[in-house]
Amino acid sequence: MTVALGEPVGDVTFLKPDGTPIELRSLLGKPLLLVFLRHLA
Amino acid sequence: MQKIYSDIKAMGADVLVVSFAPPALIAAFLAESPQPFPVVADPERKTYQAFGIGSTNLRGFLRLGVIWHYLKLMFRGWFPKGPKGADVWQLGGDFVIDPTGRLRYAHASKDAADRPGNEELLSALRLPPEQDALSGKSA
Repeated sequence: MTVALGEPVGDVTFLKPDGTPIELRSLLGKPLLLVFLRHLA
Repeated sequence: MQKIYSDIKAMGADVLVVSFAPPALIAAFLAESPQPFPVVADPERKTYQAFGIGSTNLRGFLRLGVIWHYLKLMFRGWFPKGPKGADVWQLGGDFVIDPTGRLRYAHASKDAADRPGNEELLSALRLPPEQDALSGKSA
């Protein structure tokens, strides 16, 4: 399912470089730019 | 991204960079090339799919604009050094989430050179006055 403009992003969890999870909602409260990479370098 | 990161922070917004590389690979990359913004992993690409980010193919890579994009990068000293087996076809994208968790801007890349300009990203991050008041930051 694709997130639509204006809709809540919902529960999203990423992994920090040390492997521990981080929830997207913990970063909210201000505008957030998410940049999805094609490659690291 | 590094060019506008300070502008983004100054306007009270933030950046989260997402890679589909495994966390250990990201940690190794950051040890070699520290970045000012956080980089996190989505190795299963669940959010890539949720945000509608697709893949390209050889035909997509052979577009003149894409070739020119990578030639310019290489003239500046950049060379791809991804790990063997990395998915070279995966595309990226740029998305802005508002303070309440709603998607307010979406740009899923159509090819490997397709990125929004810095001004477009900064504009997408600027809150309308009513939301700015809600976020506790004055306009």
